[in-house]
Amino acid sequence: MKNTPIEKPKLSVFKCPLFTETADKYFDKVPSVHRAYLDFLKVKRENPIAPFGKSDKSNPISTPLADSIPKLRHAHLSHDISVFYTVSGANPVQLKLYSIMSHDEAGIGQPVNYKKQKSLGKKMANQVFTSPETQRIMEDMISLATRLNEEKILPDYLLEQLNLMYNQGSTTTKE
Amino acid sequence: MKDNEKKQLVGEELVESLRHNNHTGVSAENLAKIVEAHRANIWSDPIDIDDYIKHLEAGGKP
Repeated sequence: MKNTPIEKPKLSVFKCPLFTETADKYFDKVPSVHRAYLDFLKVKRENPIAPFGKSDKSNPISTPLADSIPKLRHAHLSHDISVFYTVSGANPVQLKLYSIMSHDEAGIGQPVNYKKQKSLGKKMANQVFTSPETQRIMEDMISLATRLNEEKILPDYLLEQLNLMYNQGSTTTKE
Repeated sequence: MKDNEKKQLVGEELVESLRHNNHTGVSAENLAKIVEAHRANIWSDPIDIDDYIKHLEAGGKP
């Protein structure tokens, strides 16, 4: 008897309008989210039910969100940005993308926590960008700064400065 | 009342219900948008994942 290789199931992606709207916002401004999202898709391509890191989980049963969308899962694309999705069906498996959204920990959710934002802003201003670990932190800082800038809390020039430092892999410290 | 007869919450009631037992880190208001998107059931045409990855790697929009 011949051993025939097991064929990977076909995987189709579906996007809802909310996904397109929210993903656009982060892709343009946060390079790390773009990269993490590609990694997420590659993991799902290999095995649609494999989790994307430890953070990839569904909501506990009998919670209002799980009641509304039983198969909904969310996985971190950065420290505070997650993709919401479902996996269902078989050959083709359907990967439905609902949204990319930021967390409330940064004080952007309700209610706005200005003290936390100020503290994180201070950390940002003192950030030195030297190693892979600090690069990761820098990417999270840019993600946060982008949202603070959108909220008119962080001035444009500071966001531009951070992006410049990131793009140059700079070790520049503040003057 | 059977599960399929549960009242479908909307607006502020939906947001309030999502505020409880929220394990996502995302605000209840944003979760409500996801639930509404699910109910609207409007989806793009299916995109093969290989094509989608190639599109993104070439700098295309998500």
